[in-house]
Amino acid sequence: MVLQILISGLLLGGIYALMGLGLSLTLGVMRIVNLAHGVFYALGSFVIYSFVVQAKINSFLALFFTFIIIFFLGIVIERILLKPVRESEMNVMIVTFALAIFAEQCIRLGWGVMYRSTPPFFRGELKIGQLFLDYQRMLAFGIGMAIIVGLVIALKKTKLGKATRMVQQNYEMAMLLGINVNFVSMLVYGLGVGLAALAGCLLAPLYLIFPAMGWTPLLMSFAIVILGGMGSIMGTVIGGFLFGLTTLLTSYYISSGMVNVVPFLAMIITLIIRPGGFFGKEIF
Amino acid sequence: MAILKVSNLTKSFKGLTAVSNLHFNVEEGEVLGLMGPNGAGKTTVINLITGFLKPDSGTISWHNENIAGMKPHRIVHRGITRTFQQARVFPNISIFDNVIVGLSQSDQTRLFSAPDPKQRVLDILKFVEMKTKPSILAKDLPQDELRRLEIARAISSDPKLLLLDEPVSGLTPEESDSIADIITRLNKAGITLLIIEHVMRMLMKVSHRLVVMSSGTKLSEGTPEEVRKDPLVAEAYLGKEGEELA
Amino acid sequence: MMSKAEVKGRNPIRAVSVFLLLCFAAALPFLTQKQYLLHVIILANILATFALSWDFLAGFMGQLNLGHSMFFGIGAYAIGFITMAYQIPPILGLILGGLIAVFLSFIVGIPCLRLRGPYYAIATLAFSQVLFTLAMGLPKLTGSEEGITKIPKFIVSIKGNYYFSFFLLVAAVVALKFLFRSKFGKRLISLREDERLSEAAGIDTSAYKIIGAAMSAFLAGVVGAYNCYYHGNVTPDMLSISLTFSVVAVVVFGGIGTLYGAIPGAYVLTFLNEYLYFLMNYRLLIYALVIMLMLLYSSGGLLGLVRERLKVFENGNTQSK
Repeated sequence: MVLQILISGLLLGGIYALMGLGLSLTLGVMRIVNLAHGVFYALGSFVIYSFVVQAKINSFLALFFTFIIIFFLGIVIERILLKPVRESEMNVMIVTFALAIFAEQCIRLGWGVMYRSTPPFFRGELKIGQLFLDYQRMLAFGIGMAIIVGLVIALKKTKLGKATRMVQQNYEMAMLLGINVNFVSMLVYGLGVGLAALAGCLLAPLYLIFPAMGWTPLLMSFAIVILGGMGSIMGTVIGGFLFGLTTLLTSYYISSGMVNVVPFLAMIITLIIRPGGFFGKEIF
Repeated sequence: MAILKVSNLTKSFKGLTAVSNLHFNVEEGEVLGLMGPNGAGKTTVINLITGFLKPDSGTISWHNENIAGMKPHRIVHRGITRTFQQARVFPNISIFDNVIVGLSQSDQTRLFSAPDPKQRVLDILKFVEMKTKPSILAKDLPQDELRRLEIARAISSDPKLLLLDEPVSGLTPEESDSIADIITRLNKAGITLLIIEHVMRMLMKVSHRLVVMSSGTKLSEGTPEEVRKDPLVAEAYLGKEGEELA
Repeated sequence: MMSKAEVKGRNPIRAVSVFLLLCFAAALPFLTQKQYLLHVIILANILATFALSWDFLAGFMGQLNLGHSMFFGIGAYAIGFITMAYQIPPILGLILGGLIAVFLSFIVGIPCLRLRGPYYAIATLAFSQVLFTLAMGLPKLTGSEEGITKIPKFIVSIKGNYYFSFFLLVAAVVALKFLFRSKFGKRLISLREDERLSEAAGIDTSAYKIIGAAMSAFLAGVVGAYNCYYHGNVTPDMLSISLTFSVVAVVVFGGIGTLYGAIPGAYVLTFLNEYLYFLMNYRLLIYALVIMLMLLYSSGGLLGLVRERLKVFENGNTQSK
């Protein structure tokens, strides 16, 4: 039983890592606190729901389309909303907070308040001895990990990836070296929220979706990034796994209603003990 | 009599040593100039003395109490205040309010003894020759008024030792002389001062003694004449910036 | 050349208009039969008072607390729990609500002392979500979504509540005005301006942060408790992110750090919400849109815009934009 929980926790953690990575990008490269990160997760879930349930499009295709839509939406939002307020930390937080509320209300008006469920990409499960591993979880994990690996490679090898890392390390220096930081910011925001949406798509079949579902992923993403530390992809991934485990352990041993509480407490404790996280540097 | 004794003070940041085994004393009633090329560690020393940084090792003894590592506001209550390299004030509140927030509660202040706090603030502003009306917001001030306001704020808590970090940088010679005059008057009223400055003319004029730092350690020490003649000092400066000592 | 009145910071035109408004407000219940209008004004007053407590923290002290509804809500739940078991005089209830919120502010504030702006915002958001989750997830204790109902009312008549809600609001405004004129209040403001400089000026920033937050929480708790008494029930949305957002919207709309801005902000938003009930569904959407537009256009809020057009409302200190 414990093994079941552990494995499920790790599988879930892989997706959390994806979500956390998205936040790590906007936080680290753009140096903004994107309080709307969670609502993009929610949008991802709802958009793929529409594609699969209402338009009856194949799940994998829907995944792809959803990412593209959210990616471009993110870019538009960055240009219109974020670029003007970038200098003021407080204003960015208020604007993204307002954006999150706005988008949540849009979801509520567009789809209604009913809790909905999305069908899995593949039905069925694998049985190994005492363990039940359902295909959806494994698939989600697989896709999530593939994306993370792809991202790491892109950051290390491609010109754009290197430019992004340079902007993260030293904004002024990157500008002096002729890197188009505006363009990088735009892309990074689109990518960051796109990853959140992807996580939302992959997890949609596992849980019920509802308009206010974005807040927990938001706080979870922050918790992961804070725990794992800034600039450390490994730290974020490990943080993701940790929170995946914690979520499942809480859900099983305490109650599924309390799932929110334990990760948040963990984050608060981390903030108190080591604001810099356990692996990377401090965010601010 | 030495009121501040810095011994064996060391501070590094991620492998870079900013201050290394620094020793010096500040004598009661003097104006001590702290000089040295850029990067010598002077501002770090002020940060260490005033509690903004914790030393890796060493002691800072103030009236026989080791204040190293204490919180800044506690050190202020013990009688040491400072200004900053870039003039730092509370921008969105008035000049008057900038001074009153730090005003000493005590009845027995040395310098400004009007019983009414409002009057005391006005006296302080007059002492630093503040020309702007007290109700004006601090962010609208020109550079020399900002420096005056900073000094006003720093003396409002009735310090025995005042640390000034580049008080005349960015000022014209006339403004500079005016600040130098304030420093002299403060000193005559009984306040001990430690001043970091690059503008040699002013520093030489107001200081009783000088301590010269280079690469985190003390290079030389003595009266302005003695330091001027010290070949090590010339080398440190000429080697790095070619700055004149006259 | 500034006139003596301007130098002293007193503005006769503003004082007179406020006085006239208050007279009108006092006379209103006798001039109209519309109970609903009075009810809406009471709601506006409650929101305005709550918004003041948030502006205290965010606008004056620079602490962007995104979980502020937890102080309001815990004051309300305190009344809910206590009145289930005991009969207590309502004034005591209000004070208890405030004190419990103060206690919460210590639990939240002390760990968060070292946290810089964004960390503090996230941590407070997290704390309030924990409380919200507890309120939803412990049905035996809190009644979950339905909350606790049938709480005996404090004042039964609408007129009584009308005057009491004004009393709370005016008392809060007066208290805050005096506070921020005092040296203690100016030290709180210095925290917002430059925390390190505050330390350098001899201010114990940790102590001031805790005490300031406690004062803000007390106000929020008292008005939260009153809100519970007025409606006769307490529900989890008194702890929700939406409620926090409502006050953020009100204050940003009226102008952060202006104190008075929260009041017209609260009135405008409450009246829009109640009277344009076909917009009820779109309420938060509109607030959010307005806030985003506001921040793109001007960061002084409504009051900032008004100030620029009508210099009459300036309080004697020249404000450059």
